Amino acid sequence: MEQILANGVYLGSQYAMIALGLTLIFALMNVLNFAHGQMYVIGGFVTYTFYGHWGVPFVLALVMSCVTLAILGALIERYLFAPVIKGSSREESTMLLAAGIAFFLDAVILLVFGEKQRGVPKIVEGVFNWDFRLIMPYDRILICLLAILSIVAFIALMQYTKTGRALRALAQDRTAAQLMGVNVDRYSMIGFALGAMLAGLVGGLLVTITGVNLGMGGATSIKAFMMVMIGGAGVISGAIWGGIILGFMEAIGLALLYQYGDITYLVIFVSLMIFLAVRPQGLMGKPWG
Amino acid sequence: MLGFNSKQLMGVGIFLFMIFIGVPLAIGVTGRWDFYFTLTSVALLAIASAGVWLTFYIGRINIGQGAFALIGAYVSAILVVKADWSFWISLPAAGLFAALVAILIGLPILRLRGVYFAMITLVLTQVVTLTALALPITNGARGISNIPLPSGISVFGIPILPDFAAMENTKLAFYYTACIIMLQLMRRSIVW
Repeated sequence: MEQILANGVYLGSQYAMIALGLTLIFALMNVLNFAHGQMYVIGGFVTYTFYGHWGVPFVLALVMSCVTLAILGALIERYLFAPVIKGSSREESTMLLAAGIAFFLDAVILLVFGEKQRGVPKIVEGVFNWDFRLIMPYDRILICLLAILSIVAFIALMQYTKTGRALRALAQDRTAAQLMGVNVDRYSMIGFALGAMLAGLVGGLLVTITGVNLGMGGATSIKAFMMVMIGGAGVISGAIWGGIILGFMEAIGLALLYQYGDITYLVIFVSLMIFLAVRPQGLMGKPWG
Repeated sequence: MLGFNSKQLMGVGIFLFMIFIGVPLAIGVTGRWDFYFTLTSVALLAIASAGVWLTFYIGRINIGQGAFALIGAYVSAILVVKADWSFWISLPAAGLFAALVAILIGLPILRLRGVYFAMITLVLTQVVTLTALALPITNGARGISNIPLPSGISVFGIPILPDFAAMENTKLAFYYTACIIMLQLMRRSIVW
């Protein structure tokens, strides 16, 4: 039981971080970022290249992941999403653009980093073992703590800084924010960069445990969508709850259902569909029109 | 004729000529038989996209069309391999089964709109994939292979559809089949 709970906390903290970036981008620009999983994979590969390949200290490699993804996100927003949002009134266009970017980034990853599964040396050796009731490698505990720390830092940024206030204003009402003197274009770019950076950060963190490969992108995007749907799209607390709930469902499901074969995700998906049929806006989302 | 002017009719004529005579001729001359596979896929994907277009018309963005394509493929394959149905009967059966599944799934999820609907359809593709992997009848990850080629159909001794296995060029036959289904679908959607 303790083991299941610990696994749930560990998975939930990572998932919440992935969902945060996605929900941030959705809240700010009403864009469903299908390329989120690919951004996560790029973050993982950048950390792999710096830490695993060139032997740069892990923290520095993480920073490089964040910087790369923030720049990439800013460029994508500035030169792809912003013109499309200006020129089109339908939300499908941005969605298709995002799906296209996902394919494009997949191809870029394949060209730059190759198709192999990559892993890095452990950052901390050793396994925490509490009387065989709770077994957890130290690096997982460290990653979990770092993830929680990043989430807290992100919330603090959103709550207490001028940038965060501007982003929240933008998420609430774009026009009103513009009228109050928020530079909408600039903060859209910052917001998108921040969302992409979160994806890169979590990719960099997880490469130490799960490794990274080209095919992870799509599956990660789908998981992120699920969390966002559980919590309610565009709500930050919703993304965190969604991540924690999905993490615990996965941990509990894998522990209880393993004798029936690989059906944990099937059960999760089906229960999600039932949940959404009852409550389409998710846990925290606002009901619409 | 059907309210089209002569220019449109000529366009349709040229298009028909191109896909039924031009393409096989060009492929025969260049010897690039592999293009039949590509063009057949194009025609089949056009049919699948027509479904996406239709969902678009009811104000929903469906990015889970692949889920229904997967359902149809499995239904047809299982009927042909395990129940010994003719391919030509399993084809509409696959469509009807996918439609039935769509009704069952659509009842709850059509309450969603916009990006929410798009996200759930994406999740749906995963559900269907995982279901196909988990069910025993689909052979799980091994899948179904060695599916026999479509057999011929004849009514009162008059052959309507030829036996694919007896042909020397099944690629051409599949190409024509896909094109005819695609054209039939396009015709229906234009005339309606």
